[in-house]
Amino acid sequence: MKKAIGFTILIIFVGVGLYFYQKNESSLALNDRALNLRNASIAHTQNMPSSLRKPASVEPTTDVTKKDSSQKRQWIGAKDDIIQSGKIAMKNKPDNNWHDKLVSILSRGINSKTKIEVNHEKSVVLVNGNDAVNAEQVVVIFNADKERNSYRAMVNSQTGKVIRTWDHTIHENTRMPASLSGLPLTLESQD
Amino acid sequence: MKKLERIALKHLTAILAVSVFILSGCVPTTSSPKKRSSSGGSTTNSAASVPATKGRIFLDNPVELSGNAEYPTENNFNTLLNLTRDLVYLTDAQTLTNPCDPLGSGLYVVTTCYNALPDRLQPPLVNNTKKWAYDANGAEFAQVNAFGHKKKMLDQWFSDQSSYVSAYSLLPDTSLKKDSSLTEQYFSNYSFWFGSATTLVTWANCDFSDNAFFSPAETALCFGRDSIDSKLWFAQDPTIMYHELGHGLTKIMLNTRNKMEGAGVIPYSSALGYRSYDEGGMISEGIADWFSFYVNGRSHFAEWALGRYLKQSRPLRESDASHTAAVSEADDSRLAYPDFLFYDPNFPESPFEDIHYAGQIVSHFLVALTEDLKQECSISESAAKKLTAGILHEALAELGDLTSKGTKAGKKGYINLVDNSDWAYEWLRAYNPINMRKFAQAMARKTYQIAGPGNVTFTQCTSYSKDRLERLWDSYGMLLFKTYNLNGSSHFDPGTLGAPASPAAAMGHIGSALAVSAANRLRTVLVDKSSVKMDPTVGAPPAFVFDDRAQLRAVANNLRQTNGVILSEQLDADLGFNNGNGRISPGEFVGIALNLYNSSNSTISGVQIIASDWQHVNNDGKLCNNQGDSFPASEAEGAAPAGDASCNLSPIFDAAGSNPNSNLDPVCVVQLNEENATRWAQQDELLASMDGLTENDCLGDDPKSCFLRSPKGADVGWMSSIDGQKNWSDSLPKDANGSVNIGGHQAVFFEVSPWISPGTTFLCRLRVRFSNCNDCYHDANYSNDDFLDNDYAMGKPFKVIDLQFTVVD
Ligand SMILES: [Zn+2]
Repeated sequence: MKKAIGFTILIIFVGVGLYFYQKNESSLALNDRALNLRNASIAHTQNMPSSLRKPASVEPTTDVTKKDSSQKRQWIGAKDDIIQSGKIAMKNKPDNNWHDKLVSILSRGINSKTKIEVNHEKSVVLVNGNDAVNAEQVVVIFNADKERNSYRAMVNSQTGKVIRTWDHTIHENTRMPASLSGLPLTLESQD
Repeated sequence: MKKLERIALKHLTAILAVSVFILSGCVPTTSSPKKRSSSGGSTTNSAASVPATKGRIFLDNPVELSGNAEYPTENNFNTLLNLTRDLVYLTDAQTLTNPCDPLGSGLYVVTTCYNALPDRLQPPLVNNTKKWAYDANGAEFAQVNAFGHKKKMLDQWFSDQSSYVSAYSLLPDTSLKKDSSLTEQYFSNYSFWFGSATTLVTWANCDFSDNAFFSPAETALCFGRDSIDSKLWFAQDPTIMYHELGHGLTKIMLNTRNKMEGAGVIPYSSALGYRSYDEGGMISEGIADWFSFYVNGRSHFAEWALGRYLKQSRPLRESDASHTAAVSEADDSRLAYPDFLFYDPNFPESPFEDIHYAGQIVSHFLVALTEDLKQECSISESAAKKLTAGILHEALAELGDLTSKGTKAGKKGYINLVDNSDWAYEWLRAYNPINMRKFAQAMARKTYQIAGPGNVTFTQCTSYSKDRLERLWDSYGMLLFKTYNLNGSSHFDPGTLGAPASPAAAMGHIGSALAVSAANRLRTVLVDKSSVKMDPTVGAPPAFVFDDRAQLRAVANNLRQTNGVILSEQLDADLGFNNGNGRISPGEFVGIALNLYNSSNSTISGVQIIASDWQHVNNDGKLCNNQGDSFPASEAEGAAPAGDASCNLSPIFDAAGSNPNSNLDPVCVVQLNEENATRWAQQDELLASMDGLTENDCLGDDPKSCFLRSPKGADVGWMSSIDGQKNWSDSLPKDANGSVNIGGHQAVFFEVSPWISPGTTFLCRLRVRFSNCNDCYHDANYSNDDFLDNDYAMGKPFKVIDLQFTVVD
């Protein structure tokens, strides 16, 4: 928390002077702060497991006719003509750590008093056209001090990224965290 | 309230005055509870006084039973029980659990259908004698009461459903009942019960204050207790439990057709409401309120749970004594839309923007429809409730259908795109969500088909006239549709299910749309979409920016937990870049509320602002300027060539439901500086021009929203209404200090990449519509028939409003 505030101040008071904007060519140069951040990001990325670092890699096409014998995953959205063609491109590969990755994604920046619970419901393959993605259907529960929220989520089996959520809790008290204080978008910010 | 305007005109940086937006802000101090009026020593509701399998539950809530609005919790609650009247069958099990057998035939049984527990992860109350009589002051009684009233409502619901479905929907396909949205699979695939043999749990002693909730993901109902007086359990009030179970049945109704397909074929569920305020949420609350009337026929509910201390109970019909506004059941005095959107009868001097109060319009309409059917069809009150429930179920099952067929004999593509549940979900969430107009039209369509002239064989009612129906909707200000859209909204050819040569041959434009009689539109006002614009006042800002770090962290947490919004990992986890200076800066997560203005003389309502990807770019990545905003002005400025074929914007989905061209594009484009000129382009062009950055540095997977992106779930904003000749903030209700509450739902949110250089200018092509819009739903080229589903990917059903700003630090 303290660290983040310090960082903010640095941005406000130091960052302004560092920005420059290169207009003479059709390219924009990165400002210093961005470069620093980028270097930090690269260092951080290099310490990551390779499965996290790489974007979902494209696997060889799979013979979908084998799906029933080889996998327990339920296939969703597979169209007859595509199944008949026999080939589908798998866009990811299940990773045993999807659950931890998901919790890490859901926890990012969250109030530490909020406890996250993830309950697995089933493993599926989502088919869209000729592409298919391994996914996990889960129930996510956020237990906070004065409120509990939950929903179902479809999660990428490799990266733990959330594809979609639904079945959100309906509360009788208002769901608004607080009202907002806004400022007019000034002319300075307009063109 | 000129505060906003003043700030805008003088470009001051003072923070908008707002006050904390919580319901408890409305709670007045209450008189302290009276001293206990009975000794409470004797428990008359004893186990010895009941036979096995039976017990006693409250006939109604303590306020209603005692006639005392301030009934003290020190009183002996057992005196509210009538030993004879209140003895009911509960269960033959040793815990509070029952099976469901909706047809009573033993054919379609859910073995552990519903139960009651003290709380989550707590063991059930075990009673070996099965004598369910407990001290009415205690926690066990609250569990029994919750269970008994769940059973009471579900018994009525299943009885009505089996009767309705077998009398109407299960008529053979050869009959005229092809337009029903329910079929035989309603029973065989558990679509009568969440699509599986799951257990609907009640947590009767739930550990949350001043709240009850329905958790569809856990299939659970939670009833908490009052924060002022912990002896008040919500589960002591049957009527709040009818409301909450009403949310559960609404989920079932909306997803009936999705679950009919079999387990998991349609993985997602449709819902009403995706933001803290939107019209789906308002409709959801109104329907849930109506369910209290459905069970007990009373004109008010939750006098105990919400009324005793919180002063938030609600009336259900205009004749209720609690109304403080001049309303009545006369045609010209109904609780009409949008006049009563902010109406809180408990605090008429403090109008308030909230889905529960706005939902009163819907509950009152549904009660009025029930009463009108009773009268016009000459049927009993219980038959009228069954019929209304049937109409509601038909309408919701069709609206929530992610299979795209819509009705019993429907072809793929009839509703919600074509055979693509992924995109159908997005259409219902963002592109064409269920608002008051869509709800009203679907309800009217089903009423016409089931109880009106559109019905031929259903014997329960054939005499509800089309004029009567239209006048009832109009008396509530909700005759918002010009046709009943009997022909659906598919852009495919009905014979081949392939794309026809012209829209005129599309299934959604042939056959009868059935026009509404314009003479019946007396109270409802439809307004042209051109009336909504940026506030034209000199010096008025185009928008307000929310970028305070603490506030935006709260918003991000709320969006994550209530709506599944996950921010980009490119942003600092604690939003350390958010500087609260009211400008859009690198690395920030910001809310933007458009400073919208209504130039007509009538209120516009259900204003929806959409920042989702849409069809506004041609096949070469150039911007189409034929979307109503005439942007960009010229080819040199980035527009596609005039007459470009790919800007004719053919439907995005092919007949197989796929989207082969992926031609929905992010809403924000960027200004590139080239040579001596500037040009508008998609963000992937900016990325390509930036040394050292790759797609891995983008906010998400799409390089076209690499630097500025509205995350899914935070990409739709709602403003309840904007008065004629006013801007949005002047139309909001004011608190005692004259300040307005600005909620997160009024804004759309954007992530700003930390990599973007200050000085970069963006323009976001936001799409805006409202529920009482004259030309946002009705296609004038096709006799005001509804736009086809695919049209909602384009600009034509919307007012495209361009927001331009420069990223500054
Ligand atoms: Zn509710």
